[in-house]
Amino acid sequence: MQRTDEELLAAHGSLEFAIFYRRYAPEVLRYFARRVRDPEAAADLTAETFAAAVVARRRFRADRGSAAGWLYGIAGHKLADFQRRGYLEDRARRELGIVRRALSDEDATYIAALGDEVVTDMLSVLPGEQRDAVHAHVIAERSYEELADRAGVSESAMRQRVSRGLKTLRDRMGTGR
Amino acid sequence: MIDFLEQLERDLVEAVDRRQSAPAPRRRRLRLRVDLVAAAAAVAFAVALVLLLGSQREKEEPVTHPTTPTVTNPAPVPKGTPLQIRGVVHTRGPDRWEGRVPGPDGSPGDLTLAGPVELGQRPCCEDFHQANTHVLQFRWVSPRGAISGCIVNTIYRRPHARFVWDGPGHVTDATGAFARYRGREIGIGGVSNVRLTSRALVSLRHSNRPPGRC
Repeated sequence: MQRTDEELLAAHGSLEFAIFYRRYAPEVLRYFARRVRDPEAAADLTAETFAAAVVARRRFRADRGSAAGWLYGIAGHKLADFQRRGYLEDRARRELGIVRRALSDEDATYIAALGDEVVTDMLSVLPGEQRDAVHAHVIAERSYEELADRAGVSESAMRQRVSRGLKTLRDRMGTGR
Repeated sequence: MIDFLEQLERDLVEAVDRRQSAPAPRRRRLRLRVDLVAAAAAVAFAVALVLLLGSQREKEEPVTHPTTPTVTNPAPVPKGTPLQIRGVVHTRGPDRWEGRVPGPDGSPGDLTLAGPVELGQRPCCEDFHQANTHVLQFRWVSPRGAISGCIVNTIYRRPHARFVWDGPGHVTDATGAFARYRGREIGIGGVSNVRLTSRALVSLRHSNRPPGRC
């Protein structure tokens, strides 16, 4: 019988925490990758979040909410600190004696792809020309002039294509200009 | 899982095991240290407060001097030694001022002035007709003798935030080394700050002015 998240955190053992970690680590990494768009920062935020969870897990109270909500609460605080300060503190990792490890190229590529997934999903709703134009200009940071030359249209037409694509995305997300 | 997540899992598991084997968490030790620091700071603050209050009291209230011992058969001060008693006195009661000040021979003695001194706040500036005049009894005592007398003292409110003490008097009694000053004319001059009326720099010295009626 599978143990619940709350039982795993309450057990305080390393095996139980490892199970809890395996359940949520990929999700948390994706959560950060989609928000910071930087593989190194996403990895650091993930490591600091779980280190903080280890430090604070004795204070977790199941009657106050789910373990997943508690973990994402920590993640939200770490993300807010990172966005406010422009850098990430490693206080919890230092307390646990965990050293920062450099990302391999493969892992960095994988984490970057996690961040791109959401954009790819969003762009899929656009017509082909608009999707290519928005991706090339917003994601790949190509200039209007270069895109217009490659597509064989005027620069103003390319601007209009990107603008219409972004407007469609805003409308779908329910956010005005 | 990718390598990064697997490595992070190993690091976290080791950290959990380390914390499990160490019963006293660092946070508790840190809290103990904070308590010790707070206690030390409180003691230091209390000592500093006592020292500060002590020094303030020394500044504001002159020390009460013990009874001045008497020298038997002291040599008289040389002839021509000017009669002068000059120094700082402080209020020691409603109509009483005291201070340890040097006398005619330069030796320290205890000066006491008794009588009303009007230093109430009032606008500047006062001339003779507006000023407050009262009789002061004075006594200066040193191991070699004593000088006492009376003065008709007038207080003037003058510019530069001052009260000026001024008036004539005479020596009614002098003993020991200072016996030669008995019956001499004497005058008082002094100054108090209007914002610190518990203190005065006074000078009692020989005066050629007609002695006041006291």
